[in-house]
Amino acid sequence: MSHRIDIEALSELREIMEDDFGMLLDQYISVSHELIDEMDEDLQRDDREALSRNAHSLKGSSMNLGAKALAQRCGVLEEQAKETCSADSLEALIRSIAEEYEGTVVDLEALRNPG
Amino acid sequence: MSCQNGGVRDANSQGATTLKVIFPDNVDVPMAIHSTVSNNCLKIVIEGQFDLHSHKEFLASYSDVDFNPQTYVVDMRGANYLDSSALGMLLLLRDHAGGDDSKVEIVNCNPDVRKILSIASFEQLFQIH
Amino acid sequence: MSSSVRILVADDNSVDRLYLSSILRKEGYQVLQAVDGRDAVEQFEEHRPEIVLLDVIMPVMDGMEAARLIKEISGEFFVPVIFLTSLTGKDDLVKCLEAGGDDFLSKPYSPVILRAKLNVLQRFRQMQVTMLEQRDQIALHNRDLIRDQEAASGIFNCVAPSGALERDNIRHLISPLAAFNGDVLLAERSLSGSLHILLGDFIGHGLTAAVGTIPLAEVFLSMTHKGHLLRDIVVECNSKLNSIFPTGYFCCVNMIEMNMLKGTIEIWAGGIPDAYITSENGEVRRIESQHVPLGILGPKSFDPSTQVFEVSVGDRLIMFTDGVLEARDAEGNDFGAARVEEILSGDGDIGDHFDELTRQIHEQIGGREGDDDITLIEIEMVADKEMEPVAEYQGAGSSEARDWRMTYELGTSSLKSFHPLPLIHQIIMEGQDLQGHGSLLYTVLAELYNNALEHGVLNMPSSKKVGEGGFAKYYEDYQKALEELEEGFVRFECESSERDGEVEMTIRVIDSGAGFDYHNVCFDKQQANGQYHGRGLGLVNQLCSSMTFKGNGNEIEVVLRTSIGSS
Repeated sequence: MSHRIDIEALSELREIMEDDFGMLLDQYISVSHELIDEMDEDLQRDDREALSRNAHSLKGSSMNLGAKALAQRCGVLEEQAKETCSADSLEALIRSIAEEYEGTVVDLEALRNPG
Repeated sequence: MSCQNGGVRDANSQGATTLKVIFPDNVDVPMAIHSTVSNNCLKIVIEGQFDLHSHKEFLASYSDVDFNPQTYVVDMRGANYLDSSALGMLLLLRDHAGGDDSKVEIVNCNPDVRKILSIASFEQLFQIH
Repeated sequence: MSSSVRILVADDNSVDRLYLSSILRKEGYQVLQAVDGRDAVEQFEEHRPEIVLLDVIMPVMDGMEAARLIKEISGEFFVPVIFLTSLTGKDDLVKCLEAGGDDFLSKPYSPVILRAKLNVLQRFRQMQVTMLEQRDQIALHNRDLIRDQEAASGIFNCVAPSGALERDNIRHLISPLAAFNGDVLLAERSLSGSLHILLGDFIGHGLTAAVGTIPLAEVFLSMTHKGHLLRDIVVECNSKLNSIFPTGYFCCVNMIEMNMLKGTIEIWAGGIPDAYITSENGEVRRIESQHVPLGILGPKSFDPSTQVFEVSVGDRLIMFTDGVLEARDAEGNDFGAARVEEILSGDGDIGDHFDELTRQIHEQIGGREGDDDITLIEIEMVADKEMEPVAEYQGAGSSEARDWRMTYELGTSSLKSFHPLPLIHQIIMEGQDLQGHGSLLYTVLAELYNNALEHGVLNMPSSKKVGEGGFAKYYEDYQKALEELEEGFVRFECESSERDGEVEMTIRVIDSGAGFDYHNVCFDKQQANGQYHGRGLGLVNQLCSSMTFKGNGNEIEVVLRTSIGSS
C-alpha cells in the first residue's frame, strides 16, 4: 500500500480538512474519474495540449492527496503528450493511469477513517 | 489608482512594477568631513561638495568635541564647490568659536572657493590662506 | 490582522482549489476562488484582493498571462503573486519569475511553507503601502509649502510693489523663483531727488529667504523716501537683519544711490558678484564687493563705507546675482564672469548690451526648467530734469500745528556722524498742512544744510566741486575734512505762524564758519548756469518767498509761504 499512497501527505490533508476530509476525498475520486474520461476524448480529438493539461491537473491533485504512484504516471503522460508520441503509446499510458486510479481509490477508501 | 507625482512607475516587459526614486543631480560626490585635534587646535578637513547637505556632518565635526579649542582650521583641500549655505555654516562655526573674538583659519582653498570667499569679503571674518 | 486580508486562489482543479482554500481559511484569510486565468483577472479587477495565488497551467488563460495582467491592473500597488506549480524544471521556474511571479508553492501543499511565504510577502506589501502613504503625505506637504510661499510672495509685492522698478531708465529681469530663492530688487526715489536701488540675494531657500525680504524692503523704502543717506540706510538694514536672523543667515546686497544732480553713483557692495559701469566711450569699470553681507556683523563692527563713481548721462550700471554667473548649459558649464565682461566690452551701442546679455544667458540655459534663476538689472544715468517729481505719501494726520518754533543745533560730534535732514524735515512736516510741499521743503533744507556744513563749517570752496577728479575727489576731501574737524556747529531755527490765511514758515540756518561777502552775489545768474555747483542756493532762492543772508554770511534765512489747504 505504501508505494501508492504518501501517508504523510494524506495526514497533512486530513488535519487541515478536519470534518471535510471525507468530502474532499469524494471530490477527488469523482474529479479524477472525469479527468480520465476527458483524456480519452482529448486523444480521440488529437488535442495533445488538452491531454497534457489534464494529465498535469490530475498529477497535481494526486500529489496533494498523497496518490504518488498515480501522480507519477500522470507526469509521464504530461510529458509524452507534448512530444511527437504515437497515439497508441499515449493510449497505453491512459489505460495504465486508469488502472492505477482504480487501485488508488481502493487504498484511499481504506484510509478514509483515521486510526 | 494612477501614479501621482513623486514615485515613477517603471513597468518591465512582463508587467512587474517597481518604484523608482529620483535623486537630484548634484548628489554626485559624497561629502566627507573629518576632524583632528592637536595642540589646542581643531582641524576640520572637507572633501567634496560643501553645500546644503553637509550641514549635519559639519556641525557634528566641531560640536561633539570635549574640550574648547583655542583655534580652528578649516581645510578646504578637497572641497571643489561652496554654496551660500556653506558660507552660513562657516559663520556658525565662527560664532561657536567666539564670534568677533574667534580665531578661525580657512586654508587650502582652490581658486573657485577663494573667489566665493572673496566676494563675500570673508577675509574680514576669517584668516584665509 | 490576517482576517481582513483577501487572497485569490486560481486553479482549474477543484480539489486543489478546495484544499488550498481550506489551508488559507485556517490561517485566517478570506478566500476568493477562480477556475481559470481569465476568471482570475476578472475577479481581481472587481474585488482587488491583497494577494494572488495562481496555478500555472490552466485552460482559457494560463497563470503567467493572468499574472501579467493582474500586475498591470494593480499599477503602483504591490500585489504579491505566488505561482502554484508542480513543475520542477528550473527553466519553468525561471519563466514563472520572469512572468512577474514573486514566489512559487509546489504540490503537495505544505501549510507551514505556505505560511512562511505569505508572511514575507505580507511584510513587503505593508512596507510598500507605508511608502506610498508617506509619498502622498510629502506631496501634500509640498503643495502646502508652495501655497505658503505664494502667499508670502503676495505680501511682499504689497510691501515692495515692483512698479517702482518701472522706470524709463531701468531695465531688469527678476527670477520667477525670487519668492523662493531670496532675490530682491527695489528702487525708490529719495526725497532728496536721488534714485536708490537695492539688489539683494538672501541665503537659503523658500520661506527662510523670502521672509527676510519684507523687513529689508520696509527699512530701505521708508528711509529712502524720508531722504536718509545711503550709509545710514545700510547701517539700519544691517541692524534690522542682524536682529531678526539667527547666526548663519545673511543677505548679500548692492545698495546704490544714483545722484543725477551730482552725476555720481555711490555704492555699498557686500557679497554680490562684480557689477559694471559701461560708458559710451567704451570704458567698462568693475565694481567689486568690499563688505561682508548684511546680517552678519553687529552695529559696532559694521562698516558702512561706500565707493563713489563719477558717471555721465548715458552711462549704465549693470548688476546681477550669482544666478547669472552660474547659468549652466547642457554640459554643466557655467556662464562665468569672463563671458559677461566680453559682452559688456563688445562693439555697438552700450544700450544693446543688456539685451545681448539676456539673450546669451537664455541661450545658455536653453529652456531647462529650474535654471531660469536670473536676476539682473541695468540702470541708465539720466539728466536730473528728466526725472519726474518725487511722489509723496499722503499722510493721514489731521492735526495741525500752525504756530510753533524750534531750535536744533548740531555740535562737532553730531556733524561728523549724524545726518539731520530726515529728522528736521519730519518735524516740520508733521502736523503741518504742507502736503505736496514735502519735496520742496526737503530740497531747501538740504541745500541750506550742505551749504552750512561744507562751505561754512568745513570751509570747502564750491569751485572744487567741478575740477580734477570731479565729485569723487570732492567727496573724499569732504570726508577727510569732516573727520579732522575739531570744532563747529550748525543750528536750525524754525518758526511757523499763521497770517492772512497763509502759513508762513521761517527757516534760519547758522553755521560756525567764517562767512563770506554776500553783498555782490547774484543768484539768478548762477541758477541759469545749470551746473550743480551754482545750483544750490540759487535754487533755494527760486523756491522760497525770500532768501536773506545775515551775520557775516554764516547765516541764511528763508521764508516759505503756503496757503492753508493748498496743495
